[in-house]
Amino acid sequence: MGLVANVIEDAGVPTACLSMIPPLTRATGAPRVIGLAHPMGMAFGRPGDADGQRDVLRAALEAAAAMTEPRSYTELPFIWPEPRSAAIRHPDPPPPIVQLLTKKPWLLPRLVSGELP
Amino acid sequence: MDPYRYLPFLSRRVMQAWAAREQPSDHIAWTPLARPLADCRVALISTAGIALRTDQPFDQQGERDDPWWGDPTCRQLPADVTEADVRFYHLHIDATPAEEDLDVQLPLRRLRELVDAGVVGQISPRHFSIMGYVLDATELTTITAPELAKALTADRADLVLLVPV
Repeated sequence: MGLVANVIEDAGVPTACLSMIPPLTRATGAPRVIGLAHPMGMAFGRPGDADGQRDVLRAALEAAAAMTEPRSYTELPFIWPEPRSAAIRHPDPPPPIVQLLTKKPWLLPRLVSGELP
Repeated sequence: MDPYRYLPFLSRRVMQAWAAREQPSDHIAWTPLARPLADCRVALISTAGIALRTDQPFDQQGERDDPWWGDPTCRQLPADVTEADVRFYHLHIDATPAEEDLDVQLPLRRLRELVDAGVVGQISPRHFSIMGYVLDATELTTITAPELAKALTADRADLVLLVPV
């Protein structure tokens, strides 16, 4: 996400990255990063919660517009209303890389190191 | 905030390792906003792998055949798109909430409401999606991102919000 933002920003279009893994997004040097602790698959809130979704979007856009320095970072204050165990939803079937690493766990260091097979 | 709070254990460990390894380049990308948010034309880019049902799907089979690979291309989405018009191709996410309500992942109706409320100037005519799972970013950064930049420049977008899957 951050690498794509850098290219768009370089072309003259201001960008902001809303991120639920902000350390990774910030590590790319992205111009504006906004951290949000919401579960994967529901960045803006729960289905049908228009007010909640609008609050997140508005906060993200206003935070982006307030940033005046490269590599700015801020965190949005939203708190997800479910416990962590309920908020993490696993896709069915599991992602292909998870299926592969379940069968061949010795390949995990490749994923971690980025030295792809 | 705990930045990895909602990641499963394995993903958390992998992302932590990637964040520790990734080094930002010396080149600093920066374009200041040309106007206040209330006058900005805003576009969204989602990493959820969303494509119109009438468009070419993201290549899920390619990822199933080679789990180290993710489709590095992008798709266009018109500003009035709804959940009925799209499919979700990201194999790492439970898409059920977004299939029920697209604004969970791509809040275009909410963006329209912010325009109506005077918070945002305009909604850009085109929005875009890429697939968040791309381990080798070469094609994403050298081909897809420049395509996106060209389209967003043509649409005279003043601010692009990239939104996570």
